[in-house]
Amino acid sequence: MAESENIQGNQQTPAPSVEKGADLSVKPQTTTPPAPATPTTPTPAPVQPTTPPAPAATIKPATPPAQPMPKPAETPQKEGGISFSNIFNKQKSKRQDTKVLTGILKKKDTTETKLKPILGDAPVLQKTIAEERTIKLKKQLRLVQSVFVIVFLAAVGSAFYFYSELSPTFDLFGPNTTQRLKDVNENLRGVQTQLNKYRYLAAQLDLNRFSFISSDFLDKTGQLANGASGQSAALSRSVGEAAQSLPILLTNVRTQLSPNIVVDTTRSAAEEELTPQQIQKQAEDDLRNALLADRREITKNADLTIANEQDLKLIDNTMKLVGNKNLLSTVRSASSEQFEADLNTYASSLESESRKELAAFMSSILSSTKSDIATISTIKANKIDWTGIMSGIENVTRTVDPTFGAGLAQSLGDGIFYTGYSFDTSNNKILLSGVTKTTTADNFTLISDLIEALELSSDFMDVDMRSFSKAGTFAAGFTSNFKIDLLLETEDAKNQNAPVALEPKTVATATGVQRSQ
Amino acid sequence: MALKTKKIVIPRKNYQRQIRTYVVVTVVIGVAALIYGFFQFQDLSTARAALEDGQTRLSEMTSFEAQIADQYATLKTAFDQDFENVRNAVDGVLPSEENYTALTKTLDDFVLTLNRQSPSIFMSNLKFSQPRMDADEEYAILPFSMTLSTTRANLERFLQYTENSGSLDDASRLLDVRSITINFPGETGLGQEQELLTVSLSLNAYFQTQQTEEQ
Repeated sequence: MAESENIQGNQQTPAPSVEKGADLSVKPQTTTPPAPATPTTPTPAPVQPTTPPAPAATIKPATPPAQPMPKPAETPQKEGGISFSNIFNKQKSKRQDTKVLTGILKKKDTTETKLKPILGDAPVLQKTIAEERTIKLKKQLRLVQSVFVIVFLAAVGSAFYFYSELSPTFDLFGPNTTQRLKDVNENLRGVQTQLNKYRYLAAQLDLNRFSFISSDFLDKTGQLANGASGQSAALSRSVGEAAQSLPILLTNVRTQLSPNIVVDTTRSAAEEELTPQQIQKQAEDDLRNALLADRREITKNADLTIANEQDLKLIDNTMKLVGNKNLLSTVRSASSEQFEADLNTYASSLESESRKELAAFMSSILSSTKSDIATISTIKANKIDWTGIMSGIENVTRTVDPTFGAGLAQSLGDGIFYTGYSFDTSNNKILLSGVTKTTTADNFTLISDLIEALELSSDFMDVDMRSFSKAGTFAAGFTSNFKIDLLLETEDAKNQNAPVALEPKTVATATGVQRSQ
Repeated sequence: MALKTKKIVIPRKNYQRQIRTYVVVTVVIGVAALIYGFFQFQDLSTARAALEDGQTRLSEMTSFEAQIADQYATLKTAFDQDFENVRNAVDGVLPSEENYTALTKTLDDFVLTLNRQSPSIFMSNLKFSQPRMDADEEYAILPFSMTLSTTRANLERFLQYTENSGSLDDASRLLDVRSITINFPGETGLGQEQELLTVSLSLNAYFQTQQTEEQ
């Protein structure tokens, strides 16, 4: 392209003036230098001729020769066909042309190396795309590796963090959350144990008060019932005060013992998992140990004072309250209002039935405490009113023999008198020995009436006598000894339908009285 | 002479496989870490909430413990003041030992005093058996028997004494009549006030058992 432009430039160059006789052939020396390359297309720099053209002998240029210009490349036909007149110069020119061509070729080579070939770039482009893709993948791989490392480190870090906070044994940085929670739970249990200890000790104090006052109440109401003279006003006042105090004490005991002794905690991983029963037992054991610790503190002193001994008794009795389900059940189910009403009812009526009910209720509370005062109350509650029993026997006997106790049986020869009593508390058995005297020989009837009267009494049961015998004459009178076995009627027996010794219904027959079947 | 060519094998890296592997492993680790972290966070949150709650409650309960300790001290002081005499009376009612000699003196004194006030009563026999524990081993029993020659009135007074025994007012030793056998001389019967009755009594006295720390 550049080469063709140079050729056109030579053609447009005005021909130089030629003198006469001069060779008119076109000589390369006369060619004008090529036009400068257009700026739009890069052209190689004009090649300077290596040697200036030698002046011809016959031809002189009219004008000084132009500056040696680079000779454009020409075809050999054109060159050979133009002139043979200057062969040496031509040879010389050929050498010069070779050098020019070499320069042009060199120039062309230089140009070629700098320009990208049109078809040769395709493989280079694929390689570049592959490299770019590889680079891109490498970048992605590095990104993914970075994310992996971050995630891995985050996972390891979080696992370590949670382990350090939740492990029951890890304490490199001091107590962790789990261990601190365990410590707090233990402290809570410790404080709860102390609270339980004070509550139970206070409950025992109230139970002691309850024991004293209930014992005093029963004693004084008993004295009032027996008709104590001269002190009835003071006794009534004491009984009234006791009737007011006892329900309050019962409420206090219930308040102290009702709360749960177990403190609710959230179990830490460092603590053993326990069932509710085990937790309850653990709390009871803690409470006993706390009381035992107080006991040991007291017994450390070699010489115990009376106050120390009383404190020891208080602690011992309090320990019996721990885990005492019977007492808790009784106290929780008891109604203070009903108890107060029962106390006032008995204090005003002094009926034996009400007394027994009250004594049984008080005993149900106090016996479960197993304290010394409760023991006293229990023993006292089980005592038998012997004078009352003897009076009861006399009263029943008087219903059969109105003259009983008047000492008339011997003188009148008609009546009942006893020769001996035998009472045994171990089996509630009573043995009555006596004699009946009649003038009409109906001793057996008299004894039978006595048996029936005893059976009908609310104090006795299972009256039994199977053998009858009598002796005497109508002139001297008839005597019949008897020995009657009977039992004291207890509360349990009263609740049952105890069979009677003789059926109340009898049928009269010709041969006498026949027991109905 | 031909040049020896050395074949260099360049391992071809499969970047996409590596990326996939990394992605899968990362996702697996991430998901596992999230699941593990979620549950651990739950545990930690629960533990921290419980710790905070426990510390608050501990503070409250500690102050309450001080209050209830003061209340108990006040209650015990009042109890000791109110029932000091009664507590001492318990030791008379239910002594810590069988102490049968003191009981003998008490019975002898009562009968003699009664005899002086209202003749006649006479204690002709008194016999103590070996003490034994009750069925529940809550207290000890001292059985004894006695024989009285007494009028009906004095017999009733003696029985009333045993029935009222154990009162904390007079700190009398707790007694319980277990059996009575009364023989009436002649044919006078129970109603004869002035006749002397021969009465055999079997009674129990009680005392406390010693509490040990092991019990």
